[in-house]
Amino acid sequence: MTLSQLAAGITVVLEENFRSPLWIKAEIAKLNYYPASGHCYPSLVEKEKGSVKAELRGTIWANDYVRINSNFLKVIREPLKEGIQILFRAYVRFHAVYGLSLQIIDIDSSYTLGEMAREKMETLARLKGEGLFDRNRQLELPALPKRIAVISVKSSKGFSDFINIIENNPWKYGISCVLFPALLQGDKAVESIRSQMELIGRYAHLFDAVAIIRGGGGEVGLNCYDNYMLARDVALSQLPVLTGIGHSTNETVVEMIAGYNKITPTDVAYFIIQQFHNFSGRLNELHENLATIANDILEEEKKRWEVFCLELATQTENLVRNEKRAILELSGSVIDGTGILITGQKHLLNLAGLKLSYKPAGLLRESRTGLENHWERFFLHVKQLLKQKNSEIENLNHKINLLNPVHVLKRGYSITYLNGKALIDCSEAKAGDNLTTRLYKGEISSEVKSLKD
Amino acid sequence: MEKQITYTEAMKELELIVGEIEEGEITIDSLSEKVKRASELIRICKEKLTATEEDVSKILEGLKET
Repeated sequence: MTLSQLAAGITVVLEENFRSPLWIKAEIAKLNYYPASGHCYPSLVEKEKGSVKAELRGTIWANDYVRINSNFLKVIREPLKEGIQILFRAYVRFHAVYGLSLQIIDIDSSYTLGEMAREKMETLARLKGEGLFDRNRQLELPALPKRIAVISVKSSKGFSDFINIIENNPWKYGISCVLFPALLQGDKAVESIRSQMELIGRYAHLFDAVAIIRGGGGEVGLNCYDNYMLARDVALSQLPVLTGIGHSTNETVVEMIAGYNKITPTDVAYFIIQQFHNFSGRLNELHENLATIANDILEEEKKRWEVFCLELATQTENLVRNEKRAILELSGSVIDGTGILITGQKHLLNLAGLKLSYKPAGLLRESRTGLENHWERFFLHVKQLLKQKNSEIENLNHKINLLNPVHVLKRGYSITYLNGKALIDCSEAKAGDNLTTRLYKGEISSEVKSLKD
Repeated sequence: MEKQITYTEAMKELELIVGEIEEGEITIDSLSEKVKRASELIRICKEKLTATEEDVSKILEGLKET
């Protein structure tokens, strides 16, 4: 029998036993997709406790591959890829040259979806079992996350949205971002992100947080964020991780593990800004409180002081009043006492005065008699003098009286007046003059007739 | 020394001072001193809000070179 005869025989046996296509479960160990031809030759395995229990080669012809893959993308949002569990429909084929292979004509995407969900649950359970599930969330985000290590793609919309909000914040918050470029979706993302996480870990002391920012890259290939190793790295990061992976389906394991999952890049940016707002708000609050309370304390102290002053004044007044009264009372008794004392002293003085008055009185009396004697003599002398002067005046008076013309007139003499003037010389008058003649009693008016010398 | 205080420390100290004053645990004698210190801390914190860290930009330079 030749080799080709044997191969032909095997083919007949297989075709007889596996005439219709079969539903088979396996894991895609290697995809072996050839874009040029469009054909795919996946390596299918069954594992048990980590070791391979069975391995067979599969074949997906180009047209089948396009159909199956687009269905996958629609249902699972992942392309056909290595490491996933599949339930597929296949013919068992045997070829004389290429040997045994399973020609896959269909893959049940919902089975894989379920498997992936199960794997995700297992990953989560494992992380929880290892105490890693809450690890990153327990890290405290600094009050001011000023230094952000950003894992993203420079040209992506997500990154530019994020940076735009951070750098152009109108409050001028000082936030520095350092980009650690990485692939953010697909199978290669796991290694890419992990290596950047490792690099950031080395500079951890220079950063406040890590932000994984993705956006604008479509909703496909996010299964990497359910990867255990990546999730583990995120969990063990020394820095709090913020995620803005931006998808609308179920939360991935990395997002669950991350300290702060904000879903979109802009939300991560606003979240960071919000921390600054919070800090600033608290600061202003403290500032206001400080001012208010300090003022209150001063005001209170002032009031207390005023009350104290008032109290002091009242107390002092009372004290003064009391003292005054006491002094008055005291002075009253002093006056009384003094009065008595003074009366006593007065009495003594009077006695003394009485005693004293005897002697001077005697002296006075003596002096008075002396004075009286002198006065009497002086008086007599003056009297005598006055008498003498009086008689002298009387004599003179008598003489003067004798000279009075009345006495001459009485004796018959008369006075002739011319024009009011006594006429002594007849030559002074002329005939016709009117004369007045004064007698002792009465006057005579006459006219001069003639003159005789 | 003032330069090295972090905003976290400054904030903590500030909270402490304001707390003390709020609780009335402060004498009039130390009030002015405490208020002065608190004002200084507020100033530091406000500066921290807008100041950017230089060491991060240095890292960025370093990463570009490698």
